[in-house]
Amino acid sequence: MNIFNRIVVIAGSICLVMGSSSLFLITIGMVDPQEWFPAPWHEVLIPFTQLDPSRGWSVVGICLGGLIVGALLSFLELRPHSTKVPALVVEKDDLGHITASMTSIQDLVNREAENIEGVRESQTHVQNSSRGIHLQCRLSVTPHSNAAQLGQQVQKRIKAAVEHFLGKPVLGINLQTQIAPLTKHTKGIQSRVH
Amino acid sequence: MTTTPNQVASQLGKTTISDEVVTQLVEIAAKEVQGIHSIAKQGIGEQITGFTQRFSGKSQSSQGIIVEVGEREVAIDLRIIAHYGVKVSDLAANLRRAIIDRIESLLGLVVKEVNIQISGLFFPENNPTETASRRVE
Amino acid sequence: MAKLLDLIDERVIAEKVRTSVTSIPGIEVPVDQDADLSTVGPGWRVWGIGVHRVAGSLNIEIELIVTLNKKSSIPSISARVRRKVRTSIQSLTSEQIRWINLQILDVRLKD
Repeated sequence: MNIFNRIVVIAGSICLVMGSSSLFLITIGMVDPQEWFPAPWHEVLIPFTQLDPSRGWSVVGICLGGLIVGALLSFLELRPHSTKVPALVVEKDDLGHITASMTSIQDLVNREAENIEGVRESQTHVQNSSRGIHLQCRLSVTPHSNAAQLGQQVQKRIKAAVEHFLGKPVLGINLQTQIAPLTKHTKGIQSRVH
Repeated sequence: MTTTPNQVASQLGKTTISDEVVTQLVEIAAKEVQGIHSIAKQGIGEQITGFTQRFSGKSQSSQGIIVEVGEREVAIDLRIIAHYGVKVSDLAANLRRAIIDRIESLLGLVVKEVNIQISGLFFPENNPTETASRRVE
Repeated sequence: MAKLLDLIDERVIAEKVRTSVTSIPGIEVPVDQDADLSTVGPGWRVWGIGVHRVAGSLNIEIELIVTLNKKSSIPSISARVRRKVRTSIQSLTSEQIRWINLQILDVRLKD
């Protein structure tokens, strides 16, 4: 979820908590709306002080439900999130571990691919297994390029760059080429490695 | 039995080194290593979602360096942006050596752990202003 | 009576500690709000130094800002500070110094 949506959810959940708790206190008679709220709100809130028992309990139940939902949403959005970035372990020893983020590997692969004449855009998915690395790349190529030849060039270049960068073998590079520009979604790339 | 300054000191009291001091020295050591462009910073998203962390604990993660300082040992987590073309293992080895040398010689602390993450790559051709400024020297 | 006279005011001790520490080249003690620590009395405060009397002995805490060059290190500077403080306090009072704790707040590097 992006930042602005999160801000909206947090603000909404806080309003829900405050609204539910206010209505709850008014319904059970602990708060007098005329003392606590400005005049325009009196017409709306005073009827809640005059509810018959069955309706009163329903309102109390709804308020408690709203309070719980609002509190839960606030907690879920405000709790400290893990800042762990998806990464590949390059080395692990007594002094700790050395990792490379998936983003850095993707950027490297995309840059290498896009530097080849005929490749307009590249999107990469990186999969790490115990034996090595698998890459799945979607390429947008120019209309008159030889896909087979281009594919070989791309694979050779990417393999050399990634193996130099990470010091780990690249076991496979699957390419999907198209002439149309790439969309932002990478749903077409299915990982075959588990 | 001969005593070193550390041993004499420990009998008379303890020396506490603040996290900020260690972080500062790690940053200086990192900037001296070839192949490192910069220390990774937290993005706006992480700053907002992690804002509750700022009210508790002593997180140094806003600069991409997290240190845990004990009486005798220190553990370091580091996130860096590397230059395009580097080899991760060589860069990490150089960086560890630089950090350990500096921390152990200046602070007398044993470096227990140095965890390094390459969180991004710097491509000079994508950053023309940075390339241009280098030529002005 | 002799024992009572030997109890020097904490302010005097704190000031003495501060003077002796800052006389070492490359060592500063933070002043005012830069310091987390202080010794306080009626109408006075000595920043960066904590002096406490516990069971007849002195406990001293000092905050330091240290300038390091290639030849210096925190352990050697800490030992030097402790020696200096011990010597200067012992010239003032016969009270035993139990411990001298140092807090390194900041480090500056000099080539």
